[in-house]
Amino acid sequence: MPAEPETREEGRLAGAALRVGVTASVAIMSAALVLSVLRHGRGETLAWLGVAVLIATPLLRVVFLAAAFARGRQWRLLAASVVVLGMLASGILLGRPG
Amino acid sequence: MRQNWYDTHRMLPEFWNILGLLAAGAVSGVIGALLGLGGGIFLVPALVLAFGVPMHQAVAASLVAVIATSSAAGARNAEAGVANVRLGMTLETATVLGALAGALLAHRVPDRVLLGLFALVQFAVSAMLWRRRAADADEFAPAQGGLLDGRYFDPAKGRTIHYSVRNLPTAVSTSLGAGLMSALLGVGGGILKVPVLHLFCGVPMKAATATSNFMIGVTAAASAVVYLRDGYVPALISATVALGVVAGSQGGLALSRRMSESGVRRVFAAVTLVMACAMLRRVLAG
Repeated sequence: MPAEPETREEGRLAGAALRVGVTASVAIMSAALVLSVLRHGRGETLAWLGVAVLIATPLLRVVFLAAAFARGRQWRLLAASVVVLGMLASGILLGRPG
Repeated sequence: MRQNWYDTHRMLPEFWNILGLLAAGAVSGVIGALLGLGGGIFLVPALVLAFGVPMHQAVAASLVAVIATSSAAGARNAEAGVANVRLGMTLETATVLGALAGALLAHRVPDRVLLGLFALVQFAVSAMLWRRRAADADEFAPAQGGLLDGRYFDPAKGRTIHYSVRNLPTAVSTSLGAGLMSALLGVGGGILKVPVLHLFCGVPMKAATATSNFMIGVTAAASAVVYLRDGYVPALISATVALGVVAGSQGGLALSRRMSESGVRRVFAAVTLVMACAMLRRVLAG
């Protein structure tokens, strides 16, 4: 039986990771949008950064969950998190070269 | 002329185009919040038909929007315990594998084939939305002390719901297909996962929707990094749409307390049908 405080803690950590990522990316993308409306050259660069932070947000969430599973000695769930992170990393490395 | 807009204004979209993209994102955010969808089923055709964005770039931008939807709603659902974080993490091993396969396959698939596949999915989604969703049964397999057991408080029923997950292999294989579909078409894939989790795996509807929504962020991120490397992600368009999505999903949550879900469902089913016909026309026109 998974102890309730344990699953609550996992949900809390996952939620915190997502909140941080969304807040940061929304701030950066808003700045990017304002700069592009003003036709400032940096708008495009900031947009890239905002999109990158947004894409990294679910990854951060998996890392946080992996930490929570490790602390709770949930080895099967920890293994699932590590497999997902490994596949995400391989996606970055396996993209079509050039 | 619309077709040329994408190429000439990719770097600095004009003010009105920015407003249009924000609005398209907001509508898909509202739909996502009201109907528990990723929003891609609206966003991809909107980008292709109204803004002349090529199919692959539209899929990539939509994947970024799906991450925004999932992360914004996922934070709340994970904290409230409605999203089953352990089940999500387990099934993500399959959705991410499917998504990687789909994304690596995507650049070999011509735009027109993707358009055609998308239109087919739209017809299916439209029909599913039109027909009433199966009523949420009240009784589930009581929690048996499994690793993936879920429990959350349902305010509508005024009590805590406990359930156990059954038929995990079915959920895993469906997740693999959902990941593949997500990466090729820029949708979340919840349209496959939610009914299977609910009907075959003993997960209550609310938990199935929230868990699926929680998972689509990681799923879309897996394919988005591949699209990013392949140069398909239009940064400003994606950022603008994602901002609209975040705003729209907040608004949608506020609206959801005042609107009847079945009404919204019917209207969106009709909109999806019209968009499906427009996408099909685009395929046939070459």
